[in-house]
Amino acid sequence: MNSRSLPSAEHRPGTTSADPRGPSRFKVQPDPPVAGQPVEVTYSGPAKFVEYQVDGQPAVRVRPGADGKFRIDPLPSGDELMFSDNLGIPGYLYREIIQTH
Amino acid sequence: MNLIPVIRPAVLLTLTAHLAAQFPANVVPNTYLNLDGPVLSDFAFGAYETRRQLLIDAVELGPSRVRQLAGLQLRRNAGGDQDVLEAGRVHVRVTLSSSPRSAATAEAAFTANRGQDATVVFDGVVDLPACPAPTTDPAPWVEPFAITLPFTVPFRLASRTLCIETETTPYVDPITGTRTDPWWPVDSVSGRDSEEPSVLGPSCWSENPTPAPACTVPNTFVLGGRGIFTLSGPATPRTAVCLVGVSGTDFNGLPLPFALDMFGAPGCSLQVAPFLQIPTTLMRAPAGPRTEGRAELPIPRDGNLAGLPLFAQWMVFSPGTNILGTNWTNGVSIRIDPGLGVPRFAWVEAPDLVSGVGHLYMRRTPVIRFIHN
Repeated sequence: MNSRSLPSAEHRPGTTSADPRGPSRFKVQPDPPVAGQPVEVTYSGPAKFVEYQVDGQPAVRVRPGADGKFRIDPLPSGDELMFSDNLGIPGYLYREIIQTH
Repeated sequence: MNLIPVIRPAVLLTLTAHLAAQFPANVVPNTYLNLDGPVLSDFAFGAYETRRQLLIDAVELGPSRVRQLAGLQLRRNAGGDQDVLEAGRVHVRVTLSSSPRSAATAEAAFTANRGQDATVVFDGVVDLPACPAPTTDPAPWVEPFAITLPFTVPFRLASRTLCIETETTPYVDPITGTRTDPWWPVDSVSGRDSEEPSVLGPSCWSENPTPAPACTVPNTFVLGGRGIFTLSGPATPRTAVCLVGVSGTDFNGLPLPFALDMFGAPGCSLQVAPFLQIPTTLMRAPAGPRTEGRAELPIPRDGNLAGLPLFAQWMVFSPGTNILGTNWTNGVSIRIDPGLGVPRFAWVEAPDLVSGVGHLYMRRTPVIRFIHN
């Protein structure tokens, strides 16, 4: 590959010991979120894309807008809302979803 | 009589005073003296363990390079951010040094950027004030809209680049044992947007729930950094291999994508010409019914690599799913940052205090106001 050689790489498995209920790079309003209502999310980390997932539904990839904000409108029904930026422990947030009925 | 030795100091003093007048507030980046930065960040005040380094080239520091730094200020994010911020506390340790590197040559390894004159200038609990929604844009440099970190010892920059290293830990009340989880985002700049990754072809990995497409953290693909490829899947942990290549159209004369039906993986295809295989275990995420894995690729500081396209695809071992026993994700392509222009800021970050290597982001910085003696 001439001068464009790249070195060996390493793998970093996902983290298993974080407490996603603690402080995070994500903030949600309202907190806790409510099923069927909009959720305003603010992200303060360096990732350009983040993911959120409700229960076992497919993960949704989002590019936060200006000031790190994006909106989930409305929040699908489910029990758990999870965010990840794939950059380690501070990049997780977990919230239980409040049911309206 | 040769007057040059006499005149030169006088001229320098005059020039310094002139420069100081040009940069009265000494805000970095100076463009944002009266302008809110386009992004927010958790620099220093996020309530979780984080080590960061910020490299600021002296050209951005204005006259502060000829004076002693006595403190710094960070202001809250404003713009469209009308959040009311709650009071909180966090422990911050700030170390300044004269970096042997410039922002453009920053490394992901912390020790490589730290100068020999490293000095702890602040080490203590920071009270984050309750703050109403700002009525000005940007927020003013006064409490509760700004936080001041006064240095316990002044610091004089001795090289071209200032290295600000912060170690942040949550504050735990020594009596009650409780901790606060403050949210106090600071006004920041992230430079130009990095190129978005492109998705190549479909994934044949069909489980319930549908795995998220393979992707990257695009702004980690910079010279001297560690590019991140990511994959998340259903809840059951499993082994996968990240295939990394430099072509998505040709693999030793074989046109890509190449269908793998004849090898016992119907509907699957090879999307990249791999020169590197990174084995990974997809582990349970801390929350949600999913697994996550990431592969990190150290990128040497070699100018020949600037702009080089990289291609990646994950092969996931799934016994019984087909004769080959593997699922193949979509491919993804990303270019290493072409390095256009000279970055004057570099940001290195690790999500703990023990890692010697973090992730490198170019042109990312909080808006900082320096205080001088």
